Amino acid sequence: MKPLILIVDDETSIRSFLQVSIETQGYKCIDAANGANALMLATSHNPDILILDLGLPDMDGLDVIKRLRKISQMPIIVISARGHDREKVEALDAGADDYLTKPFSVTELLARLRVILRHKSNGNISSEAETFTYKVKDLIIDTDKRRVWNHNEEIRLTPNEYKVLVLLAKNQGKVLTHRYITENIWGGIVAEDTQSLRVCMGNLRRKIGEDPSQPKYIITEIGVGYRLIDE
Amino acid sequence: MKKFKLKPNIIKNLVIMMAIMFVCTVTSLIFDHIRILESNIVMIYLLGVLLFSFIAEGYLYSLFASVCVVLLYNFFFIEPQYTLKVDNPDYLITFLVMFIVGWITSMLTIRVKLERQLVKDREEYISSLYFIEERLLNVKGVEELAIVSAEEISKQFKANVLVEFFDSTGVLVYRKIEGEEVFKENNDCLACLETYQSGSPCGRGTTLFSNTKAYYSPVLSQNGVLGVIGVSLNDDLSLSNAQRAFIEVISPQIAVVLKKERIYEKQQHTKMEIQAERLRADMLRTISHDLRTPLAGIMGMASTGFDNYDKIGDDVKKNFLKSIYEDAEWLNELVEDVLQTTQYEEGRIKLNIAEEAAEEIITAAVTHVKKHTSKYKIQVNIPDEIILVQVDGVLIRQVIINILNNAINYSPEESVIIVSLYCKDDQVFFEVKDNGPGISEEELPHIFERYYNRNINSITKRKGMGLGLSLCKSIVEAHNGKIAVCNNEPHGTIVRFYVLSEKETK
Repeated sequence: MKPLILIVDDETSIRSFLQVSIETQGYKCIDAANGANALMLATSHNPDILILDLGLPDMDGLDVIKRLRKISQMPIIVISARGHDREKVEALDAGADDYLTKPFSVTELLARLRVILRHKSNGNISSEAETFTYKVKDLIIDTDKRRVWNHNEEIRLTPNEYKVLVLLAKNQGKVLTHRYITENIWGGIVAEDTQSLRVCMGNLRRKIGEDPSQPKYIITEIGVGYRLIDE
Repeated sequence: MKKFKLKPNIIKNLVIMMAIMFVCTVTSLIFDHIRILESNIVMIYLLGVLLFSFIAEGYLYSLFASVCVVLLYNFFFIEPQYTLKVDNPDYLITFLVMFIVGWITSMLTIRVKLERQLVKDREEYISSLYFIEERLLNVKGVEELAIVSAEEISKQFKANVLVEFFDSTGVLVYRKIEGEEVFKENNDCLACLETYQSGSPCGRGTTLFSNTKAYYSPVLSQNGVLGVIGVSLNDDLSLSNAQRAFIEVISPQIAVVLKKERIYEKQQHTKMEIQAERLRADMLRTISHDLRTPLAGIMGMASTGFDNYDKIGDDVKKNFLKSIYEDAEWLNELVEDVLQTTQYEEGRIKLNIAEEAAEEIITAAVTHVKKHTSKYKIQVNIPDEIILVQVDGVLIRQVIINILNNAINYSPEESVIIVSLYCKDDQVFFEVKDNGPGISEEELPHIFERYYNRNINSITKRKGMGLGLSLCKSIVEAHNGKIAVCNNEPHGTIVRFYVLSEKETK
């Protein structure tokens, strides 16, 4: 069955070009111009992915996410206007899976859609199973043996570095907010934890041999969080 | 309290008097022994009284001393000796004259001394007034005026001083306290307000609010009350008349300076507004001109493609669409610059300071730029240690992106751009080096100016609005940093800026 994508944006031109480009990928498309319609369509059609513009005429996009999250775990990609960084982070913390900043490239959006759909078809095994082996390019994480290899060479990580890497791997392709990571690894959000997180990421990058001019694995989204590359 | 203070003084003076009387008596006894004329003894005693009154000060002392010498003279030298009886009534006149002369001369001495003190005080008063006036005339800004006035009045009276200045709408603009904060209580606040509203003094030592800790005096000008000065003496004393007079002399001076500063500030403000207005007009002109270039391209290609859809080949259409996309992207960049600049001008950009790893910001900027250009080699040098900085990561990333875009626009394809990060003392440096043509000496001082566009040479493809670097400068300076440009060897440009490392900003 073709995956169903719900597009929510109040601008007709954006809806129409999104629809065309999404349909060229072989997905099915429905759209809504406001929050109320979006909620209705989301509950009645249960789409595979929701693309949501945060600036809606009738209600706050953040509320749409919060309401949907109560009843569904459907993946949500948020589209926000440039400069509204806080809004973006709030949406991610409220349960959105990914974000794009307007004006965005359609190629980028389609790539994000593919990542989400692939994770969906893999089922949720990866996030629920206790042990699993992740492979990203030359990086292999064996959660069974708690060991990590890069280019077939084992790298030694501290427990926290390992935990962060596994957390990123479990959510491969998805951006994780600073808040989400610190809450999961350190169990709270204190000022010192941001510092610990930055230092931890810095060390992790050095250990897996990231090139600072062209990162292969970990993408830093300034002011938002981190993402492990998927494709 | 008063008595307590004076007691040691009384004892001291009595001891001095006894000593002087003793010396006088002994000298007189010797004179008497060698039979020197009796009148000289009177002179010696009178000299003693004079001497004592010069040291002791105080009419009571001199009266007392005069009585003493008369008694001593009587006791030691008048027949019958060693009694207070007098055989010869003529001596009573001597005694009377002696007493009167002693008393009057001592009083005169005291008066001379007091007058001298008074002259000295007045001199000091005038010189301190002069000094304060001079300091007041040299202040820069209303804030400094408040500080200087509070300082000087406090120095003069050795008291706690409050200086408050209000603007024309009655809003408190400056409040400066020299010494302890004793002006906080309800009564004091009310008295202060009353002074401001009525324009007449209030507080301790006056009839209104006499139970407060301080005396409040208005700073008056022709157009009303500009401020309030509060003085609270130690020891719960009220201000003397002289002290009040001092404040009355000094406060018009403060008012004059305050008005002068107000006018100056207003002038500066108007000047800046005119400048901003001119800039805005310039900006509108530049924007509309610069936006037209990509727009013309988009409109032209879209209409050509639409009108001749069947006549042109697919590859041409494809090319058109690609160019339309590129032009739109350029347009978007320009609009973004304008938006950020206007936001910055209106002071609407708020720094969203967080602890960031400097290398992450660089990587994010470089990957962003690389998305759009593959023809340049961007090299990144970061140190082994992780450098944390307290900055607005998004804005600093924007700064690096702007600098990188400049480097790309002004250097030939295939050239190498090096981005480095390093720490020196408490400063974290970000540096972008290119080996393009560099910037000529004449252009160097202007490149941070808004709307400054360098002479476009054949290499450059797209013209920016000249907003990029001026925006960078504002952002870096908002982080208490500095940005500078110099030439690279053998050719090319180095743009370098620093922010303070987190140890310092914390």
